[in-house]
Amino acid sequence: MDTLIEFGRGPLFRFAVALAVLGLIRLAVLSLWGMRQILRRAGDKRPLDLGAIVQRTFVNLNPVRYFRGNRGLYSAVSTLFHVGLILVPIFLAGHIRLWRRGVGIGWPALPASLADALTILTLVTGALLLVGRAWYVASREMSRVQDWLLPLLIAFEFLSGYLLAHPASNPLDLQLVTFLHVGVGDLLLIVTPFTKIAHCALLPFSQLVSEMAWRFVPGAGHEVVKTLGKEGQPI
Amino acid sequence: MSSSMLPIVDNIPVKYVNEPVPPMDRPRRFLEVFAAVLKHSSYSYLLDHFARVAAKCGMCAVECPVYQATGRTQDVPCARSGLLLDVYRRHFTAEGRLLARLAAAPPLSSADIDKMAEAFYRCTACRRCNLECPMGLDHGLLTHLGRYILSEMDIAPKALVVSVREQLAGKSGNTSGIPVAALLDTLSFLEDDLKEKFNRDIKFPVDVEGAEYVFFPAVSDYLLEPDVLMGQAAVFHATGDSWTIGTGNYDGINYGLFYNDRFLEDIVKREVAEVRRLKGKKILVGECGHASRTAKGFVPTYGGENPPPVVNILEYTDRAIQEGKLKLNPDAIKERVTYHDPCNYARSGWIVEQPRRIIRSFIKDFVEMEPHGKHNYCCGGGGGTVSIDEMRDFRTKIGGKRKAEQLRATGARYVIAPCANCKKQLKEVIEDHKVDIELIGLHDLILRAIEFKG
Repeated sequence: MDTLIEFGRGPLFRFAVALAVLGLIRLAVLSLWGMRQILRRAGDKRPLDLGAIVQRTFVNLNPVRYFRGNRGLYSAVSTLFHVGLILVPIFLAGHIRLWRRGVGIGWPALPASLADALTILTLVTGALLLVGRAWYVASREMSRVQDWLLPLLIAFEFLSGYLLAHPASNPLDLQLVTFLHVGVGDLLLIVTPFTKIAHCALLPFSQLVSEMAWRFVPGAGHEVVKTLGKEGQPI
Repeated sequence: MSSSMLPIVDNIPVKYVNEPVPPMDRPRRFLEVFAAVLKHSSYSYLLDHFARVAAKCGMCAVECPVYQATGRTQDVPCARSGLLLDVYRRHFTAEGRLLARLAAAPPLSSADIDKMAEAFYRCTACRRCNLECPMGLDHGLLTHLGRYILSEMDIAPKALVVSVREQLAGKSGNTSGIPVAALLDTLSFLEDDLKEKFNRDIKFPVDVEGAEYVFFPAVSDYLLEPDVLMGQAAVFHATGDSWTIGTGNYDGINYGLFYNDRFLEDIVKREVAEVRRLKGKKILVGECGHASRTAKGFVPTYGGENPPPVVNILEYTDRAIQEGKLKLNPDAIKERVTYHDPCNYARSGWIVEQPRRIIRSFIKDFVEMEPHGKHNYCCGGGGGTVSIDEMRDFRTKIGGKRKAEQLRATGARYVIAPCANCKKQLKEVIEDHKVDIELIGLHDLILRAIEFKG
């Protein structure tokens, strides 16, 4: 098991990070390239009101505006979930040591008590989001496998991470918990570009894509009809 | 009708005819159409993006008036969009095809197509969901695309097809089948009415070359909304700006927006052609929501080099008031009035404040519906569904339920609904929900309040 753990922390971790980072960069580049293609082919050559689009992007990303109204509770819980989800994996001292070992770079870490608090916050809010997803009919019936599995895997990561950081609280075998923590962590990195976790790289472009997508290609409709062999057919 | 033999499928020779496609071929036909649309348009970039970010959180459901009335998952915007995105992923992406093989996922079926057809036409395309989706998905655009694909396999509401057919291929060249002679008679009658009201020669100029504005109302206004037209003519009489109606094309309606990009383009091009024929400078669209949106949004796309600018009559009248060219009697309308924001120009924020400035300039008792403006609720008949009479029960009792509640809550005597489609829908909502309120257009009220100098 030690060998597997070392493999998971070493070559597999480097592979997983490379796949996640390169995968997300690929998606972002493809998104930007796609937008370029939309503009190039569009009949509407007016300049985009980038200021308004950037403003809408920030407004949409701002979770505070959702704190009122029907989904206020969901928005608040989701925001808190994301705070821990983003900060802990990046700024946890143990992870930074892993980065230093694996790729030779490091950065300042969170104080241990804050990391603990954020971990518990993420666990609690993650559980609430899962309960919310199961309780709210609309999201429950639409949910795919990844919509259930990803929060569970993330919650497992945070729970196992907490147990590793607090051996006295850990009722399970330390090696087993380490193995699973490393393995699931690598798995989450590997699936990042292939699941909705990719929204971390794509979300900033969403408003731009939506705005541009209404800039249609002149003549496209008639080309479609030609391709389908429907030319000359009455309406 | 043309026919040709397709390759033998399961030893059963299948003949292809114009309509309908045999059920066993529908999935293949859907995918052929989808592939052709993706090839020639830019939709694939949109689908790639949306397919990756959709979180299935259900935030959109909270804002959807249809879902709020039915509580059915099929009416959740993300679920509806998912029907199309799933097909895209499964059949048009390498990942999707690989995963489908690994998971032995079933391919597109005829039942899936029926599901999509129903789902996309239950949607009013009001795009309220877009305001709340944290991932920025434009579910309205996905509904638009879904309907477009279905239409190219001849799955489209008859009411929309018949209207577009008359507009693009019929003798009259407009959706209501009004011939030029009838138009001219109507305009002459309205001029007589205006003379009687104001003792002035207020004209509807026809085929005037070089006018500043070439006017495109919803053509149904010539049949159903004489006061709106007279109000608009009176505004032009007050401002003195040059405008005209063209007998080559006098219909701003564009149902292509609701179901087919090819027709959307062709109708916009006809509008621009009429402006060029008359050497007009600008397109002036009437109060109609979708007519305004198609002109504003798509004349730059399909209008060729130097397309004419597009102005909505509410923008025009608002500016006339701001510049002091239009005077309205502040005592003419004493009743409480509320205003319904048509989705097609309010959702983008284009026309929100202008009608309110007009209203506040002469109406003392104005009360807003909540929510209003960009966040308004759809009348329930959006996306062309108002034209489908068979859907009336669904439109008024489901789609229009929230709107009826809003109307009742205002306690208003009048609801101003500028858009022609909203007018029809709201009349039916008022009737079916027995709301004690009267529907009116904005220029109807302006007609009652307008005062001329001298």
